[in-house]
Amino acid sequence: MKIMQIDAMGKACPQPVILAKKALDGGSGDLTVLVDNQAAVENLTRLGNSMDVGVESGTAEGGFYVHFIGEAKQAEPQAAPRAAKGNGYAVFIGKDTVGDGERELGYNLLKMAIYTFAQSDEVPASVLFMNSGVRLPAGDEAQVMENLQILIDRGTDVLVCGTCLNYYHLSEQLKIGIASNMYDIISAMQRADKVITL
Amino acid sequence: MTKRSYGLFAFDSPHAAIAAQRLLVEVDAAVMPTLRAISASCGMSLRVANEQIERARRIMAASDIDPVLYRLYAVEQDDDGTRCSLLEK
Repeated sequence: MKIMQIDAMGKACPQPVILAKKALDGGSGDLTVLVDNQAAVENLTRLGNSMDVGVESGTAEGGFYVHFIGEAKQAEPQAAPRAAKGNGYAVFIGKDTVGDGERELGYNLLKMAIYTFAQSDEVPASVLFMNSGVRLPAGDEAQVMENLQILIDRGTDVLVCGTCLNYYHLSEQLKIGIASNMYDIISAMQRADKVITL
Repeated sequence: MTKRSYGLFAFDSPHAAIAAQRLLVEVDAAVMPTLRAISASCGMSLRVANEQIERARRIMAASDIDPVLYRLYAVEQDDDGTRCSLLEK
């Protein structure tokens, strides 16, 4: 069994996941990855779960370690947070308004859109937040939280770009959904029959 | 569907809806699309819990928003559909 350590301190999302996945695909049966942020720990933990290997994590000097134990299954080409649930559709929210124009109107339109998705007969397979869109799941609007929770309870994956949270200094404010990475977000788009961009 | 009932302010213009939204923050009004059953209004409505309807009504009455620009409905939703009845402002 190969023993391997990857120092991914200072590497931006999703680099730690890409490096770990490459090592696990290459048959590393005992792998430790060092990272400097909690979002990376969560992303790596989901990678391990999706590849059916044991995962331990904890604090290390200057950051965190994630230890993978056991041989990985020959994994899917891309790590998915959960098994695909049919195809369905994905909703991509790349900003905190719908369209361009008056901000107050655009923000209200976005809140109404999320409400409408939550109340619809067919909820999205995933709702994907990127760039300034991450302000919604990291914000303090009760209405947004309530409707995202309804979506999650009805089976929607709510994935939030960890890089974007980090950029806007909102990593600690994420209230709902999973801090995720480009891998998982693109994978959710690829699985979906269609992607609706607001 | 679970039975739900609430009060709904429907507006003639989104400008009036947004002005009202600022006032009705204190009754936790939630913005939502105007129900299909209410066709004669703009697309933006404000939902308030039943127990907040009276307070919301007073806030609106004391505001600068012209009463001709909005209507207040009692909404009931269940498996049989959605019913909206116009309330006095």
